Amino acid sequence: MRKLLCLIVALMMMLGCAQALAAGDDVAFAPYEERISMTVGRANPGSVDLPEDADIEHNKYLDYICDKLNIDVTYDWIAEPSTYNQKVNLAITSGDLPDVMIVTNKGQLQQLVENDLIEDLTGLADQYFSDYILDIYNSYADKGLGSCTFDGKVYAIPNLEAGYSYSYLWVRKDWVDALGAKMPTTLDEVVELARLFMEKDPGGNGEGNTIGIAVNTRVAGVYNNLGNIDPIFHTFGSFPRQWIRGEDGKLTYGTVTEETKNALAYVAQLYKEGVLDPEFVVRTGDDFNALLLSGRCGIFFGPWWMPDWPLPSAKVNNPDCDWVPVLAPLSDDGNFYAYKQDESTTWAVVRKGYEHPEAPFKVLNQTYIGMRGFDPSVREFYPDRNVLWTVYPLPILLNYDDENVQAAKLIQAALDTRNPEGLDPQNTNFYESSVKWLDDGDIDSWHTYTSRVTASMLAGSENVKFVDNVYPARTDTMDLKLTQLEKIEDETILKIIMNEMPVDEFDSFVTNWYAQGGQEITDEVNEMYGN
Amino acid sequence: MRNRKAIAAYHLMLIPGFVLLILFSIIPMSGIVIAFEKFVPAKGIWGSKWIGMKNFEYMFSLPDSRSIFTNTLVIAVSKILCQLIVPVFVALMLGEIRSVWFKRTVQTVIYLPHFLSWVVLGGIITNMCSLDGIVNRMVMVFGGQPIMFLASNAWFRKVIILTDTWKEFGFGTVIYMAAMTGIDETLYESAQIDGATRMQRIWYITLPGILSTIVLMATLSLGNVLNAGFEQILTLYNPLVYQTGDILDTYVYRMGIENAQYGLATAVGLLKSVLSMILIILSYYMAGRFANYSIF
Repeated sequence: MRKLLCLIVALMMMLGCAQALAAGDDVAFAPYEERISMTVGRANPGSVDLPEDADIEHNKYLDYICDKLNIDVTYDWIAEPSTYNQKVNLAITSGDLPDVMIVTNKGQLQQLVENDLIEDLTGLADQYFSDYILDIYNSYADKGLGSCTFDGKVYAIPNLEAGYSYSYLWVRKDWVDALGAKMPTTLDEVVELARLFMEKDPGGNGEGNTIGIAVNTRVAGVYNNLGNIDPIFHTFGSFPRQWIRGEDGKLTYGTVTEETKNALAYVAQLYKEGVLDPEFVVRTGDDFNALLLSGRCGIFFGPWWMPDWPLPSAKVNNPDCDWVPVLAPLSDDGNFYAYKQDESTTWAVVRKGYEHPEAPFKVLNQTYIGMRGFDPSVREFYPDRNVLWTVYPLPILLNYDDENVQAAKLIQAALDTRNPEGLDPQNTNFYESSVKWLDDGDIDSWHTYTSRVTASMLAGSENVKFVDNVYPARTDTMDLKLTQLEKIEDETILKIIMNEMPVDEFDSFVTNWYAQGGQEITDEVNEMYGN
Repeated sequence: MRNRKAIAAYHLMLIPGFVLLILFSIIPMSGIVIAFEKFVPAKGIWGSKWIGMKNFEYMFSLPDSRSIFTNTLVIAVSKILCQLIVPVFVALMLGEIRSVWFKRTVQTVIYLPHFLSWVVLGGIITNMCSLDGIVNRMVMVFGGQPIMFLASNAWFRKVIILTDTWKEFGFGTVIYMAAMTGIDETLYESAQIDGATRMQRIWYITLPGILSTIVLMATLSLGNVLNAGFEQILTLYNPLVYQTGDILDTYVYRMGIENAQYGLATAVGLLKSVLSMILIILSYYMAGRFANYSIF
């Protein structure tokens, strides 16, 4: 059976490969007649699990690009992620850019355009991208290249981040079952369950040691992050730290709304009753994870990938531990509200004057043939290792908006019949892991099934409604006044929640926020979006 | 002639130091023009727009600039005072101990934290100060309610000052102990013969003997009046204690590094440097006047 499966997979991969190759026309994959060189500036991906005789600058993946396309990629510099922005700033300041540079900041992209340091890439995407990649861009319509289009001209290759990474509820189902409770759907039920966990202590932490709901120090408004209690705010119609388009088309900053005030009043009450982690404000990210992994807390909010990180070790340490995702808390109308991702956060730009501005497009074409498994030979590079895709020279991640949801549906359909036919290589991997968990109870495969199937399916539920939010580039006033505004914002949110400031003072915070530059910023952002 | 030659040799020896000074302290000083510009890295120092005193005006118009200055001053001055009093006190006490072995051990142990970085200590202190940390356990043993020290505006400064003193007092102690070895033993002998008590010996011989060192340390530390300890506060603070714990350096850090407002950050830094320089000059003058101490 297994052999047959392998055969099918191999066949499919060859088929997929052939398809991808046939689909992308000759230009997309045509090698250069004479070897060209391309210098790259990028962030250090950290450990990508290469063997000892290879490193990020010398490995078979770079050779692969060189063999297939005749492009010799070398790194001008590889900067640490923590100081990456400074490194790019330095490159901008000195005007000394590598042929292709990765930019991770919208303001810097703007500067590069304004200073005329990078090539105009208009039209190259249509001409040089493979059909596989082009289809992903087209699925976002105008938003695909929108983030790097200035005055109608395209100046970069943006990444496209899959959506549906908003936070929802994660619950210890084994605790719920042990107490004979039911899974919560409304906010009241979530809070009730948290109280029950604290009171009955199903984790055996000792009296008073169970944390009701874990929260991180940012509290809300950070997309694709664990520990924010955004869903609680959303049931009040509040979207802190996000720019939300109202019914009149105007954009408003989500923190300074009446809805946020109401939500804060509620959360402050939760804190007072001890349902929220009393010490959340002084916990680091590691402390936060420790609460979940050590079984001190049974409720938190996070996106679909929680089982992949940080939860796997919770399962491995304690196989009974059963974290499950729940689409809760629902609003009164039965819908779950969330805001959308910033589609593009990373861009590849080409130095003004580089002879082959189309080269990075080709590198990406070949990269996706390799990393999405269309070319089985890539798997043989380092067979016993699980090398991360960031090993490729241009770490521009491209996904369909609903990629994970669609993939989950396909995998679930395959699981229902135990027939993986028609799945692409990546999903076949997920399918195989899911089978291992479902049929063999392999604990190391639990996380793949839960994140890629259960949680991703849930994220695509029909009653999820997205508000219209935008991620504006930095404006002049933001440059000058954002530090101050963020300071009073963070301070007010925390003080109100921790009952150090009465909720009524929220109004004077709003007045201050507008007076200290918030009004100007709101005007600028509205102007940016044509209001 | 020989004299001049000898002096020339000394001057030659100064050159490496001067080169370093010019390279790393004097040339970069030209960067302070950023404080008067709307600095855009891409345009560079020469290409950015000159906006005069705008950055300073904005800085003083900030409603929080007052609390930031107050925090900085209160924390820094308290630290300086503790840094002066505690080490002198400990050095005097250690000086009276007969057992050399004990003295050395204590000296080494209290000196050790000086070598730990705040990043490491930050984690340890956060843990100790947490609700189920060792400090709160003790509080509860004595029947008190646990306190969130690092999230309380009433406690934050105290924790900062206390932990900084704990970390650094060993260093000061070593310096004063060294100064004490320089005091002439015969003074103690004759005082003993004249019937001076231990307290009197400390008061009339040891203290005056190390006074010049104390004054020197005080003078040197005055330049730090606006340095409230960036790394320490950065590792320990959170938005809830901005009110009592946000200092110039952390504000500049958030502004300059996190939000890329280089002009404004430089303006604040420049103001800090100018004030520090005035304080150093002033304290040097006072040291010469009141303690007859001069470096040159």
